[in-house]
Amino acid sequence: MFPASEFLPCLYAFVGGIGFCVLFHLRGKEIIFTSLGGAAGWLAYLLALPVVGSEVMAYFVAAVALSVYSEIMARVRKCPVTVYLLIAIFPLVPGAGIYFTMQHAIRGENTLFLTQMMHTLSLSGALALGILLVSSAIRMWQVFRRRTHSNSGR
Amino acid sequence: MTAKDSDPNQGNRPAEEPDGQLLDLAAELGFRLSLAGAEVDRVEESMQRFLRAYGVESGEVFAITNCVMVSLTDKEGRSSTRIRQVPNHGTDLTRLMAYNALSREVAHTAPSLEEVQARMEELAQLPKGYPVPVQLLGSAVGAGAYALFFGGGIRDAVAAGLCGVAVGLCNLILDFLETNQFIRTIVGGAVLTLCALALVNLGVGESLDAVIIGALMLLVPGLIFTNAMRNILTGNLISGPNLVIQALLIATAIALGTGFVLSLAGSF
Repeated sequence: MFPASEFLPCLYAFVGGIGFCVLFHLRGKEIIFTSLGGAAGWLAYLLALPVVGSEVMAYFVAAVALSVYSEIMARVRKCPVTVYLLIAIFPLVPGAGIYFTMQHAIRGENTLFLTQMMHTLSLSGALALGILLVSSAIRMWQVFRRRTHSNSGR
Repeated sequence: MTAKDSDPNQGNRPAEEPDGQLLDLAAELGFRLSLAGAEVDRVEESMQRFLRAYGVESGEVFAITNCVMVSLTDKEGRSSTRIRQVPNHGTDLTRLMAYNALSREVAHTAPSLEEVQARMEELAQLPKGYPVPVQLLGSAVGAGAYALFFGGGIRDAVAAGLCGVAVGLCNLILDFLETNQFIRTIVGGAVLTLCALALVNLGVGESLDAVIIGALMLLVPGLIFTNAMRNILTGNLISGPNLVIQALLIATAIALGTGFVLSLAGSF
């Protein structure tokens, strides 16, 4: 269904993640797990894109996927979720969007500039919304657990 | 950072303040978490848990992106407060993990304050990030991989890697000069675009867009926007908009830096 080269960006996202770990002073095994999160996020995006059809929705799905991954890893590895999210989010950060918005601006292509800017903002919004949806759901679940059996809480 | 890690309030603490050390440690923990790049909620929650662990129920904590405050009132109704300003800082995930672990442990076991103090001093000795060559290598790998990610070829990746090293060097110099993030991002964007133009013209890179976008990923406001939305949704209307503006400023700075050089090059 997909040629293998479609999935090469996941590998690039993984390698790029390792580079970013160094910049954020991360050490140890977490480097591998956080970078894998970035690759997983992009894989989710690639798989979701033909299903949902729109780039913004695919971003949302990918954000949910990488957020679920991060929350699980944070509990398994007993680390703050931020550590995983911070690195794993990079493939989905619309850096290209910022660049093309700027390019349209300096070329004086006002309609394209506005379209691209709205698109970039939508992508950022979808990304934030996906992550927040997962973390809010988990928080609600924790409160639910604490309320229902108040003695067995953490 | 070692100087700032040490406690400025020790020695001249008024004698009638029984919870002084507890306050100092809570504020110091919040300060260090903040300095390592922890989100505002995490800082507040850690300080709150810290106070709770030692039986303080009348304590208040408050954190914004560049300040932490802890205040508590003792049984006689005397209140005391610590305010720590958090200077400009990067993100140090190793420290964030270490202080987070310490905070969780203290919340569960509530060891003696002297022990906590000793542990804090121990953690202040953690290495401060990777050596410079490794950091530059990290920038190169990050930029190169993202040039490939955005559809560049191997030669674009090499060019983007070189631009990444330039951005890394630039950041180190501007860090040394204590420049603010806005200027740092503009300069970083301009430098990477200059390098990309030069390398593409020299024939090292092929696609200017892929090279620039790859290196530009070193400057993008990764998780800031998400944290901003998180703060706004949880009703933290001071830190939330603060971070939104920060994210937008960074994005604008990237556009300004790269756009300035590109339009300058376009006019020749």
